[in-house]
Amino acid sequence: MEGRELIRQIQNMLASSEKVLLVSCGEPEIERLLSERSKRDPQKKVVLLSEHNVNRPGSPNIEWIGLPEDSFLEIQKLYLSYEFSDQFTLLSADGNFGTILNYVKTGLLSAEEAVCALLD
Amino acid sequence: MDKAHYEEMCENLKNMIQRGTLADKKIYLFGHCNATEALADTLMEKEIPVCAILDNNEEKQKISYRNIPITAPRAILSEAPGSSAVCIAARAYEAMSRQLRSMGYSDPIYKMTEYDSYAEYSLSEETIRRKRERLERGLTRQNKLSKQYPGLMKIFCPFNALGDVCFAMSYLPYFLAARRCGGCVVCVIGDACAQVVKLFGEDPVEIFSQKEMDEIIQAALYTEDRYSFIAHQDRPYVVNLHKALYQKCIPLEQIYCCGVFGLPKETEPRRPARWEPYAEIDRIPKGRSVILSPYAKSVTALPQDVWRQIVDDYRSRGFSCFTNVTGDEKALDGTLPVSPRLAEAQPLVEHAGAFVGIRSGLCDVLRYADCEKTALYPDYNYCDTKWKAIDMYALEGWTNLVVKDGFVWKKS
Repeated sequence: MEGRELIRQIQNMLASSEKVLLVSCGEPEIERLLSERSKRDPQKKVVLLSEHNVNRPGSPNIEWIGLPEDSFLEIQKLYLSYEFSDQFTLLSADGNFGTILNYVKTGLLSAEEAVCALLD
Repeated sequence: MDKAHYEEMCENLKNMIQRGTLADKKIYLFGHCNATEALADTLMEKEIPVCAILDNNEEKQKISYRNIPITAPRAILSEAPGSSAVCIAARAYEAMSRQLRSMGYSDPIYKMTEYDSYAEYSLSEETIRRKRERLERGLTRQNKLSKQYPGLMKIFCPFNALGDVCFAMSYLPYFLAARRCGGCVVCVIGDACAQVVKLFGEDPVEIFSQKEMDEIIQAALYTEDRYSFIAHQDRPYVVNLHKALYQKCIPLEQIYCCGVFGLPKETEPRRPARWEPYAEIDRIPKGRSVILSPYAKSVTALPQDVWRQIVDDYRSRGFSCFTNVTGDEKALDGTLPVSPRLAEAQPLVEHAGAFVGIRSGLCDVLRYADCEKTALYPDYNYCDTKWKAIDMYALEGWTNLVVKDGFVWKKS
């Protein structure tokens, strides 16, 4: 996908959903919980962007979108250039900064609590 | 609010007043925080009334500041179109602005100071171009720093706050060991933060301006540099640790230990150790003095009456009272000023015998001082959470007191 077309898609996602998560954590348990998490407010939609096609059912207001690797990386690089929206979140386990996933690793939060924190 | 942002805010306000931007407008502020209080104070000094402080936190909507009500943001929609303006001094300008626009608010929204250069909620070509240029500047700085310190991990403390640097330095050695990293250079903003780093050891320190720091951190993010680490609990925007606070209260100590560094919660923090004798120690009666610390740049000030009670109490017990001051800060009535360097602070308070301070980063620096220590907590909520400051910042081995309306200093 070319630059402006990709940006148009991001804008559409931000306009039509409450949150967009770029899921780059490689944690199957977290991905499963993200899929199963039912939002408290069913009117609010969450889009989960994955680098690969995720064969997950999601729930009525949670949508997985599998992106080609180059598009996924392009969006990630754009987000790592500046914060273009507070609706957009990168969920990464191996960045050079602290992450909520560390709370799960160290037992301060359960995986369910971490997912709730990210989506609520 | 630090001096640079305060001056920028005042300059912007002065220009707006000169241009008549705020004339005949009902002024609202957004986000109850120290910076917003400073803005309210400045407006009131200029006899410009503030209608309300908008804030999403329902806990804060129960209180007021200097008789300015704190209300839900939707309250502004009751104003007639064209009759109001919102001034924002808080860091979350972009999010607040977006919220107001999405609610249908169409009157002017003014950014009073540039607190957050990472954020611009736009995907326009112009924004992307400017952010790309900013990134290029960061990449140049990153490259220079890497050449200057080959083989060392670059640790970034992205904000000028002593407490955050103190926590970062407390857990850094364990983190470096876990990464099998032999050494690091610590990058900070301002001389005071560099002094904190030096309390902990001999790691080289580089001092940057906020703008330079933001740019180099952006480059470290973009390049996903494995030899860089951003040691902060809520900056920059990619750090999502604060979201956990909507689920449960996690004290700042554990946020750093577990959240920032990923270390086991039992990890024993390293203590600052490189103290130096206070140069003017002869002025301070040993064991019969109290050092008072009423000033903090990021914490709401306590009423003067609170400090008056404390000074009266210590003086009635024969103590000499001193106020820790920097720059143009004034000593409290009935006290003498002292201005130790940070490396002298712990020897000073241990010699004095007692320390009473508003809960600020200085308390973190003095956390292990061997004397009577009291931390005072304004009764405010931590950011947009339901947790109080004392829930987040309470210090072990200290007397921790919340200062509410009608506070009475407990005589020792």
